[in-house]
Amino acid sequence: MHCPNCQNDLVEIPTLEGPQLDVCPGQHGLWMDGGEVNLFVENYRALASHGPGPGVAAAPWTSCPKCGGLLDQESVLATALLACRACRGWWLPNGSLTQLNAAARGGAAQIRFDEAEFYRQAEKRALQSLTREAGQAGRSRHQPCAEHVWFWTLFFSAALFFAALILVAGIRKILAPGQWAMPPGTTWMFLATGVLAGIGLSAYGLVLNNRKRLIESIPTSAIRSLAIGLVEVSGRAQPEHALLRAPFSGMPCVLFSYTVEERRTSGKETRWETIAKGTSQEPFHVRDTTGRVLVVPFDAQLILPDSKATRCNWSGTLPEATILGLLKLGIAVDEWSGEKTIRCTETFILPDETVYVMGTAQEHQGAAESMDNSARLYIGSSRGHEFIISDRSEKELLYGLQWKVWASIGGGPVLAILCLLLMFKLYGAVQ
Amino acid sequence: MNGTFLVGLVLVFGIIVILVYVVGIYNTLVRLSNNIDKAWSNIDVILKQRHDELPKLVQVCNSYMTHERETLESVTNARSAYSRSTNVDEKAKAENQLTRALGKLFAIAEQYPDLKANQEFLNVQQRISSLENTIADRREFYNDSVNLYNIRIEQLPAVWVAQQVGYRARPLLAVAQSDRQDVELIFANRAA
Repeated sequence: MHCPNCQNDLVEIPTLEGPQLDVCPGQHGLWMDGGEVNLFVENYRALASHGPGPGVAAAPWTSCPKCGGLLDQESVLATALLACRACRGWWLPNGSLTQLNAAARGGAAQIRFDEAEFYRQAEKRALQSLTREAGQAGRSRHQPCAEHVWFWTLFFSAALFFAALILVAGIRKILAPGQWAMPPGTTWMFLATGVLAGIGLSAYGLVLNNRKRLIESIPTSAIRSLAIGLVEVSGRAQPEHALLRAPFSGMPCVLFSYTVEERRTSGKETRWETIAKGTSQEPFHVRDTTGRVLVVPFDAQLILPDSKATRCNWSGTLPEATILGLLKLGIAVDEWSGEKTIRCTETFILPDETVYVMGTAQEHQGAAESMDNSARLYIGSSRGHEFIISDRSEKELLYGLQWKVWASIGGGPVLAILCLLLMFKLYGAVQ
Repeated sequence: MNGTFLVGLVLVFGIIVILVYVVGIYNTLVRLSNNIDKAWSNIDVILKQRHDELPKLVQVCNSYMTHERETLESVTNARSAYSRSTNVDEKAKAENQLTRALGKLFAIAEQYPDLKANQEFLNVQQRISSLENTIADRREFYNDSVNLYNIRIEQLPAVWVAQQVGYRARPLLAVAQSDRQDVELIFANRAA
């Protein structure tokens, strides 16, 4: 049974008078079945003269703890209580039983009890019960499943066995004299780099695979019912205030990203060196059919198609728009002289373009729970969680990640093994 | 032995890659399973908010709908049934019952113009309607989460890992047949 006020479980307390009382551990009141109250008042016949009256501790809609029906307000000997018409039980608010007994004096035997003691015992028993349940839950949570233990033991044992075989064979080879006839040279360095690159590529593939699995495992949320935590939404991008302008093309947009690179030559080698890079930080809204939510793009990973990138190679005079763009970004062009080749790349999200956002939904400071999501929440970055903004759909994103994962996880080990094989072949380890 | 070394080397790489892949599958299953629990908890949060609004609603309606005791009791009983329920199935059943009772109450309230004009009633009704929209969205989200989990544990090679660690398919939140029927409205104050 539950307390009609706080819905906590009622605790059964044995009494000297006979029946077990159902008492709320929060001290809101106690429940008596039909007729039980007669055992707690001296003149129980006086209880018969009662009827509807004012004043009750609980709300009028309270439901009966025993049968679930509605409780009616009643007044018995000037004591307010709630009575259930269906099961004839009474809900007595704290203090009412004592008051009732005091009002119904004068019977064959004196009845004395301490109502406060009932509540103390109920509170104590509720606490003991909670402690016992927590201990049992902890024990069951920490008991390892026998099946899991066997599976992982066999798995790791097999892996360690094979690793030990290889180690023994390798140590024997190293100790054998005359095997390392050729001194390490440039080729060996390249091959060693190839091995490390292969391992690195495999690790990168695993990181991409984790990201792909994360995107696959989170369903898309409707914006009006966003919950706090990692979420995935899709909708149209809209500016929070005025539209932004992409730095080089001047395209009106809600978000842009840019990279400025300069071509530098060193002997025979030519490389592009990044001299400036950045992303706009102004928040924007994403709106779907159910509502809109603010997105704060700080620290987001942007996945935008290259087709909107604009490049310009300058050898001589920069176009006016590019000079203005560079100046806006705080890159001075005055000291540039002679020939210089730069490459300016920008990508952007246009207004009303469909975007995909995966990030952490968080509450604005001071937001109330009663506010709707568009006022209460925003999506931003959070330590340890992915934050992705893309104008590709989820399906396109996954497709793009899929082939990268296959290439990395497949190509990485192959590259590492090939380089290792070559290393051992060069140094006579493989005959 | 050199041939053995080569084979062993390839095996080591293969084992390491498989090991890491299997760990990745296990982690994904754990994430999918926890996503379901989180999705249910998020429904629970909104249900609690709706429950907190019900006393105000019944109190306001009580003053006007004096002859609709049965309808008001059904709302209260459904609320109590949810409080007594202990698992997801029972809670879902109780919530369906409550949604049905509320739908009936709001439909009957249309017959009481004084009640409809009451600002407190309108505020509570709007709040509950908004919460019910959120509940509907989150139920769909819960079912999406369960669906992703169920698909994943039946796909190769995750099915082998799932069987070893004891992950089983979970049921979707379904609407009972009785709740799909139209609500029958009986007005206590209908003129003969």
